[in-house]
Amino acid sequence: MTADVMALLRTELRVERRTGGTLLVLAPYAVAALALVAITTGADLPLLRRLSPGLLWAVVVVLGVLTTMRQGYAEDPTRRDLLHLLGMRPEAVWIARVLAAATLVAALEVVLTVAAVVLLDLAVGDPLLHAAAVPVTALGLAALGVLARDLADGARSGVALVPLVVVPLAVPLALAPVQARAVAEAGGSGWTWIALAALVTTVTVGVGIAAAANLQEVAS
Amino acid sequence: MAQLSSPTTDAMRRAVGPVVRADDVSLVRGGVWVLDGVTVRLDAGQVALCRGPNGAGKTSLLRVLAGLVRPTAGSVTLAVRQVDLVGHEPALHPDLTLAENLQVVAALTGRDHRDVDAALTHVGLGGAGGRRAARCSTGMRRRAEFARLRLTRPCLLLLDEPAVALDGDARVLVQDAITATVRRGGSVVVATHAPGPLADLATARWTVRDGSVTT
Repeated sequence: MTADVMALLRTELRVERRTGGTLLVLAPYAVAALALVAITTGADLPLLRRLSPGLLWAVVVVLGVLTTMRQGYAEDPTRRDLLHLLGMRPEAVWIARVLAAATLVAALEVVLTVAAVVLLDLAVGDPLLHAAAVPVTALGLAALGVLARDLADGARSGVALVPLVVVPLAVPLALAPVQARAVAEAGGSGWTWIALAALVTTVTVGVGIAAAANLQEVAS
Repeated sequence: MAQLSSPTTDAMRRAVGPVVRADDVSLVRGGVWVLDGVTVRLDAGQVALCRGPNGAGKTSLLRVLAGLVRPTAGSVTLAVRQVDLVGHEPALHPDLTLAENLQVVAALTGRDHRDVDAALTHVGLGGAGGRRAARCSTGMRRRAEFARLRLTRPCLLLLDEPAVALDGDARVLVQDAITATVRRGGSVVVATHAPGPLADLATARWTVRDGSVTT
């Protein structure tokens, strides 16, 4: 199963390298959004510093979930049918899709962190805390987006269902790194918040894996 | 064209057992009975020609037989693991080259890039492997689907209107794929409006109408 996951993950990243849908299209928009905030606050640096962590993670959440809406290899029902016929289990397909999206979201988070430091004078705080928040939230947002997309594909209500699934679970993923940084700055341990994000991520990934076979059939 | 069976070999194949069997299968999609009490059996080496009007349920039947869709009622028994379906839409990512698309299949079936090159050459796409699928004609994409069969080597091959978008020369690929599958001891179901020369290869005929199948 691991070899199958890696084979599909390589393919998904090859598609992204070819199309540049995330890093060449979404990332510049995200940086532009941060720049716009910097421009509108003018020279009010203290305000910018206070806002920057929340702005960074708000943009990450919005664009992170959008990343999972790209046209990857396994997003098309015909190609997903082929993967099934080739003996690839739905769980393996789901994991590969999430890992591919998580890689892109993590790259987006790194780009946006650099942009926020430059444009919004963001103080990263404890670098270890931030470094831990990046993969945890990237995986959580990726899993959430892929799960929401599968539900939308299978539901008669279509994409209208997506916000109902995404928003409640995205909130802790966006809140955790911001709160972790704030708590750490106040002298406490921010790791509790990272643990919360990890818990949400674990539950989302678990639900996705457990439901992968049914979701695939409903979507086909 | 010679038939791929005789009364003697047919008897032998039935003794081996069915490659796929559907028992009283029904399928409901969106409140509509797409398949209704379908019972079919395909033995090793058999080629079934599946005919019927648009919307009769041919594609749904193939998808159920492939194990891609779980029937609402009844059961499907597959005796083989290597199943491939060539459907209406090619299973190619438009931003990947033809070779890259086949490399995905090769990676999942334990083959390598030489097999991909050989498969593309076999279907007349030897010089087009580096071309993105989006920039290929419909016929070229269809050929690439048949190149895939050289990698998957299915024991149950399901073809849904296989000759669509193929020119006269390329239609031989359909016959080749059927013959190769049968020689491996596999079985084939061909759903088509216009069987043409494929009718000569058929050892069984199924007629689909309003979700029911008569054999």
